[in-house]
Amino acid sequence: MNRNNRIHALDFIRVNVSADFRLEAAQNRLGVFWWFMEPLMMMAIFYVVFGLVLERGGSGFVYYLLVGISSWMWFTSTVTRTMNSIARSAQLIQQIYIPKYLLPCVAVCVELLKSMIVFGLLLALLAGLKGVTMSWLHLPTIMLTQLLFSAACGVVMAGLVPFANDLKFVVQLSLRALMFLSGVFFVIDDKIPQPYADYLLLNPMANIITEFRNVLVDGMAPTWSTILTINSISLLMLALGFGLIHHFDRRYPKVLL
Amino acid sequence: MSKGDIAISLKDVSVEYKKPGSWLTQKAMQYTALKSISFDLYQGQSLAVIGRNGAGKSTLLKLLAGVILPDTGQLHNDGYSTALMALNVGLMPELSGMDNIYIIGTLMGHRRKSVAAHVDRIVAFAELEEFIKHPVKTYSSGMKSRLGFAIASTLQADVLLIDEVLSVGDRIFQKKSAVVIQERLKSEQTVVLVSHSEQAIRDYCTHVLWIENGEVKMHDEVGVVMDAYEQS
Repeated sequence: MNRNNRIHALDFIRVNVSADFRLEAAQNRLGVFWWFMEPLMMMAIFYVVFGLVLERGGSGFVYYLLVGISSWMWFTSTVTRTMNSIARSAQLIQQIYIPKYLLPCVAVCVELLKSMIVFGLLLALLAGLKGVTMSWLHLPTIMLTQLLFSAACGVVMAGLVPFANDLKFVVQLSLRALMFLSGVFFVIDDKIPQPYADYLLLNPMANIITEFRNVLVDGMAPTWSTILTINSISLLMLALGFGLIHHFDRRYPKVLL
Repeated sequence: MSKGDIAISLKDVSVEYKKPGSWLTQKAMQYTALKSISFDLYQGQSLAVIGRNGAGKSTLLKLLAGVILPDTGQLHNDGYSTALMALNVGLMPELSGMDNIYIIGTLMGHRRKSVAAHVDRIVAFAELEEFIKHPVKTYSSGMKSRLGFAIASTLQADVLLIDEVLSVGDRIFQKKSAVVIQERLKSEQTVVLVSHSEQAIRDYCTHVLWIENGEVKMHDEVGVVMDAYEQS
């Protein structure tokens, strides 16, 4: 068919990720500094409120907070950017044919790069304050699990948002609710009464944050059954999302007028 | 792909735009931009598309560029790559001119390295110099169209779709772009030109497609159609 279909996907993604990444770094006077400041500020606020004022948590609470917030902020920023990726490119896709699936891929990669910097800082802090354990070797597995899950949520939404902009608000509200339900600033353990603890653990992000804490703070191996379940869900959602985007590939330019 | 082959063929093609309204205002939008359009674009042909504003010219270019598909009818493109040249074509305002060159270049089917090999020529042709590092939103409209023209004309495509770029830019750039377009026409580049400039059409094109209200009113050699168009 058309040579337009023979776009070199990796070249396109690489060029765009690099452009978006530099754009974001250059947008503010302090640039990259804000990528650290945001999680650090959130951590400080939650530490004061929950650790000091409400005296929740106990020893090790700071570490749990650090891990929870780093993971959560990566999740929200990935879902938000990916969800908007197709709708945001309305101008461009009117003019040139783009295989639309590339746009969410770019968004996921940009947020992955940004979060790598934040996770680098997190690991440095944990190593300095607490020390490194062998269980850190499991970190890539958990990160991959979160990467797939956040990408899956974002890709499905990216395919739908051009048809109903309202979904953005639904997702923003859901993300706000989920932040409180994912145990970002508390630990889902036996102190939480049943059946609520079980309900909370139906949420993949609550499990992912728990696994991050197991591996990074408590020196434990991940719960493999959980990891397997979440990854299966993510792969199904990714297939659904990319299927949707492929199906509407040349409809988006018309609805995004 | 030799001269005389059909590059892109349209048969009874219709395009309809639909947009559901909000539940509160109930203002759904629906209109048919093109109604049963049929014509063949030949390799090496230079075709002008004329018609009043809102006649469906831009929708036709989008179809030819492969951006949208027809709702009914058939469009067949036998492997020809297309490049659209229009005012601010696909330029992303926040990104620098340089980043835009790479993004549009890869979308035109070029490898990153092959774009890199052409970057100097594009920048020089667009006369942007230092500005190439600045965001496109800081450009004047002349600079934007120069960049768009330079990208599409430097990175070759089989079919060049030109949407009213001839009238933009200052006089010196107009001359420069006219030279490029004439070279292309001589080298048997397939061109589709949308323009309101009768002079440009008579100078550059051999055939004219006249569309009115989304339908083909006339499709013939340039002299025949332009004479009829000027009388109407």
